[in-house]
Amino acid sequence: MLESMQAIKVLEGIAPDAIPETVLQSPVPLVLKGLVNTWPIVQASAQSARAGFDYLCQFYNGEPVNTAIGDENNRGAIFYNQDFTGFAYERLRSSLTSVYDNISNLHSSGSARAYYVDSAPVDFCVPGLRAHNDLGLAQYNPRVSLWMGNKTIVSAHHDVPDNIACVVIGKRRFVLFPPEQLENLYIGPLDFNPAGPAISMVDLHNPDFEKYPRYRTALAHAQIAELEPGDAIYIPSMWWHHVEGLMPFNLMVNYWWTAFPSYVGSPQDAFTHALLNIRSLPADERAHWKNLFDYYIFSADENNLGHIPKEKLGILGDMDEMTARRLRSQLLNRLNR
Amino acid sequence: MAKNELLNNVTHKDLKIIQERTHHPGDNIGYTAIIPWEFRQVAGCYPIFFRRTRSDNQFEAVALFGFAATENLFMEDQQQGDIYMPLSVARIPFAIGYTQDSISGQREPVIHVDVEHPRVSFTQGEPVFLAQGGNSPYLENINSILAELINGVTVCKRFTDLLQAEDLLEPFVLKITLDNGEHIETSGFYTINEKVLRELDAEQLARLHNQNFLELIYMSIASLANIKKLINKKNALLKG
Repeated sequence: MLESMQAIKVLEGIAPDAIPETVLQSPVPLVLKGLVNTWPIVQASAQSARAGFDYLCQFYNGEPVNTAIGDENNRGAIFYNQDFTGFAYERLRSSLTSVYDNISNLHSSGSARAYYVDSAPVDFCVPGLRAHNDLGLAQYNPRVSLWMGNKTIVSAHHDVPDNIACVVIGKRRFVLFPPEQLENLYIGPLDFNPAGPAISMVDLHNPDFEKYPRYRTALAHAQIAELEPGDAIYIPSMWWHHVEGLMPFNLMVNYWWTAFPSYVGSPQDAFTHALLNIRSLPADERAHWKNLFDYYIFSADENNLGHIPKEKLGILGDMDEMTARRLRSQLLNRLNR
Repeated sequence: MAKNELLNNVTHKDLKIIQERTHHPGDNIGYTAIIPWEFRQVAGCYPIFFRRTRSDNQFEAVALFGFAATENLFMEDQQQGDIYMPLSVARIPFAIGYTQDSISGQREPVIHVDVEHPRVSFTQGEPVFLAQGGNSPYLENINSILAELINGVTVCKRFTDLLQAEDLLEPFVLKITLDNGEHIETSGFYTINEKVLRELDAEQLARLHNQNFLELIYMSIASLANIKKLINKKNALLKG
């Protein structure tokens, strides 16, 4: 199944401090081969996984990191438990320094259960790492996180920001689906999921097509890449991504950013608001709102508004900080009831 | 016993707080921590002392209301608005808690409510949430009080650290004989060491003055005149 997937387009020879705008604004995912080959942490990990990990730990300030440890029967998936009452792992906060030994102990005992440190904030727990291991994205004030574990499997999910994920130690497989594959991925609950984003309920390696027939269509649109130390992947906003660690120890550093002006909030908030105020409307009224959203929000076609004098466009005109402030205050007042 | 819960508009949907303070445990407190921008009002009403906190042994500034941990001689005056009510009294039964943001790892302040407090109710009092779960004006007010306290405690700690560094604190034992002959002795409190204060050199004084701490020192000293007010209150109470 994986063999027949389309490979993600590969770009080579890009420097970490000079990532072209064409990459950062690409509408499709890209593999950035060897993007961070020159990072000292990648060079340390070329000696051994342990050496790369030790390099990382010299910046560790002792802040506990969020860790997920698979249950007894867990085979690496960061997923729901059998009867869907909870998850197939336990969450705890632990010291970063013990992660490598804990993972190698699991490995030598023959256990396949997941051990996963997810989304540990780099600036908060390993300050100083970025001094010599960084991407030139400072103007976007990115959120930079560590992802560390054994052969973990995270089912397809999406994130609102754009993403560049850099493999530092081990190997990682990414299977990506375009945003519009939503209906074919059988996405689980929005507010009961392993780590915040909702995930696909389908087991990529062993899909139950009787239960999830449309998943075949999703697979037909999937794109795949396997990344080695020094490689990075650009995942555009909202693209679904299934991520797997392939080696006994894997470390990845990722950058999330949005290029919007700072007065623009998360579209996720508008979505939540719509769940509250639109989804529960009768079907005909919902259709009217769909029409209104299409007309004003999604097409946002200037021709729609040609009949209004430009200086009278008001909140339909170009958004700016002052207008955003007015709208925010209006929303705050109306929401607080 | 206090039982703090993280305030939220689902669990505490119909939570109301009775505003009338009575001599219940929970409201009847003998002293409370104050923050620097309260000194001016507090010094006009109560004596200001310093004491070591139970939690981390750092010094805090307190306003004294009574001669025992559970005696507030000013309860009625505070209740009627005749006398300044310090922010850390006004906040009750809410308190500042901390939670760790799972994304940034930062400690974020959150609101806790003591659900065992006698003024906590679900039928009478000031509603905490609006009908659809928004914040009531009362909760907004509590929010801003707690925000002030967070800032104030940080500044106050800078102040008391400097007092300690300059050796300006000395233990103070309050010994009083009441009209009925009863002797009262309170300990654990500290005041400004006026002898050390008078001997500070220009550089030391400038260091205190630059952070507006010098005026806090003099207000603390002046506030001790209010001890007489406490004694009078206590004597009047005993007379009935």
